[in-house]
Amino acid sequence: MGTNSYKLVSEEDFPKDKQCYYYSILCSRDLKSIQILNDICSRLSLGDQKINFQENEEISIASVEKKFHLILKKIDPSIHLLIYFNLSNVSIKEKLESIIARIKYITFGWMAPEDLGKFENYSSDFDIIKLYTSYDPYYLLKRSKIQPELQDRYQDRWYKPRAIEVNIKTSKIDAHDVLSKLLKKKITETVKLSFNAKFSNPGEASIIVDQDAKVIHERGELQATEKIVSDVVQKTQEKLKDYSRYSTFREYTKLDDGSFDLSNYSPTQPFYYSFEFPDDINEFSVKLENLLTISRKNLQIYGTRLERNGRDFSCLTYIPVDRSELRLTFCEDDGTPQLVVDPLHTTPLGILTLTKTLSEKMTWSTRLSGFYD
Amino acid sequence: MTNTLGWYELHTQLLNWTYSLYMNQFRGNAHLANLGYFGRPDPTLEIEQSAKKIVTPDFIATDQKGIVQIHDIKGFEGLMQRINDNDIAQKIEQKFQEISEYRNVTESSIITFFSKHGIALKDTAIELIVVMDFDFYSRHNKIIDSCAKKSNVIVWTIDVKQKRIRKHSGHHLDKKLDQLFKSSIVLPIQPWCPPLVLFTRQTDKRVKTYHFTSNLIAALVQDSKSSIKFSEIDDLMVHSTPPKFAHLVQDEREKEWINLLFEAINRDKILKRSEKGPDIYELQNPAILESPYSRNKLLEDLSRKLRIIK
Repeated sequence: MGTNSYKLVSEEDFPKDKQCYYYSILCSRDLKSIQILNDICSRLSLGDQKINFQENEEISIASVEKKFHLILKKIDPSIHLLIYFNLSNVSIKEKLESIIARIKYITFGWMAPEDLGKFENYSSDFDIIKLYTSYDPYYLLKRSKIQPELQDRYQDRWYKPRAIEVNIKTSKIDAHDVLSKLLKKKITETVKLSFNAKFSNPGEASIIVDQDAKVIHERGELQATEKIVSDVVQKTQEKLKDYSRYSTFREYTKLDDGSFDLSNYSPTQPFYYSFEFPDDINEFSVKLENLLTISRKNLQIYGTRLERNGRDFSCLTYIPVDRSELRLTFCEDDGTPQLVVDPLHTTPLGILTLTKTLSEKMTWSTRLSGFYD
Repeated sequence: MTNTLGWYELHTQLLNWTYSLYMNQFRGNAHLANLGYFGRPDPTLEIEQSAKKIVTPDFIATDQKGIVQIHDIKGFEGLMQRINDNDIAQKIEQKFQEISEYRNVTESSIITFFSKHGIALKDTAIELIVVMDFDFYSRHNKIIDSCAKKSNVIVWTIDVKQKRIRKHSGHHLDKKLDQLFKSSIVLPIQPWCPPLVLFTRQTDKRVKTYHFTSNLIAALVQDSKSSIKFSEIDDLMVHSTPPKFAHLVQDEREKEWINLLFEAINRDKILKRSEKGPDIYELQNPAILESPYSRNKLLEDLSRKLRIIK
């Protein structure tokens, strides 16, 4: 992991007893940080409280005196880092998060469970860490004692992983051993990790990292947390870079008569998702179709079914963040269910959003592969 | 794996596969680009007559030295819908006659078309090519071959399943091409997804309507905007990916948008005129901005109405 750190929050500004939140915000438009910050603040509806804006080349700051500080730093054209901390006892964190979720050209980042687990390396073996893990909701629904006729009604509840979180607080060396004994079968993945990071310089901090790539500084040296933040951002950058080989590149030249000519094009590498799960493919197929078409509250994706033949189906799915339009086909290859993706248009942001959605809402065994990988 | 064809109508597939032969980004599969050919879809050409007549064949290409290829794809894709017609032979014959009209395309309109792409042609020699589905050809090969011979038209067929293109009748002016077509040519895997060109003037109206509407919805959703001005639509469609009708000039694009917009207002009830201004159109159901379920319902109703889903 990288050891670069940002000096984003000056120690003088930051009250030692407060938490500091770092959000990786992915943006599909090449905007200045102040434009996004303005959009967020205009929706905060703070009444007559005056927001002060400051802006320099890379960082823009919005603050309300004695209330809160919001800092937005543009990391690269598609990633901005939003930092928030409170100066009073009134927190706007919930409001802020729901606003970000409603602005559709931006989205939260994603730490895949396997990436999240790597942050344990920052604490020593006998440190206490807290693992927040979730059951695979599909697996739980299958084993619930709810009568079959009521399962539909409960479905929404089961799809919220936080409703069925398991929290474990133990020394790092024992954490996974305890977890596997407790749950017998490995059907869980880490969704949130709380740990102490220790550096020789600047020192120590207590930190939480979650699956939305949000980092919370709980206490300790802010600079230590910012080292972790830079790792989280780097992981996201790596993911987006990895997905860029599945998106198409096109370049158009405007001709003298006002028409546009396709002057450069690189074809997409086709890709697919594969899922491993224990039970009923039929049921999985129905749920997957619902997720990709009717979608769910608080999710932005939506779509329309094209056809269904037994458990196989195809649909068109749209992802608002980058206006991805994908034709998806669910089928089986040698008994392994697959979702084949033919993009009409997509970008790494859209692919990340779809992968995150499938992984969180369907099964953590979701794996993305290219046909020529 | 099941076959993922079907959503894009056959015309779009055949057109994009033809186009891919002329796009050197497909490297080894860009067989004609590798021989120095340049081609573009949906040209506007003129026919010499007393009154000026405009024709819009599916594709036009040149070897950049004087040979000009004009391709017709839509004609035979249209005939496939009526495979059991008793008078199919007559229909095929008629199609070949219609296509022969492209021989009268004025040299000046061809030269103008290529010059805007930076290609200077002096003299032109036209060869006509029809591109059709291999299955359709196999079923009616006798009549197609004899018509092609009579009207001196070259026949290419695309085998969608095997991803191959073949030449059946006629000779190319360029000997290298005849040589190339001695055996069947392998096509790139799938240039229609994402397509080089999403649709042309010849594309099925229903497909245009669906893409226009779904694109409009997607843009409004992304911006959380419940209304749009007519003057914003062209910019939106041209700068969406893949662009819609970007290969046409603005005036003609806007004529298409007017038709599609009024369909969305009057027939599909997706937009309505706004009280805020004469040029402003707003969503009939603004709930779609926040509810994925409403968006799904809108698109599903539309596709059912257009009969593009089962």
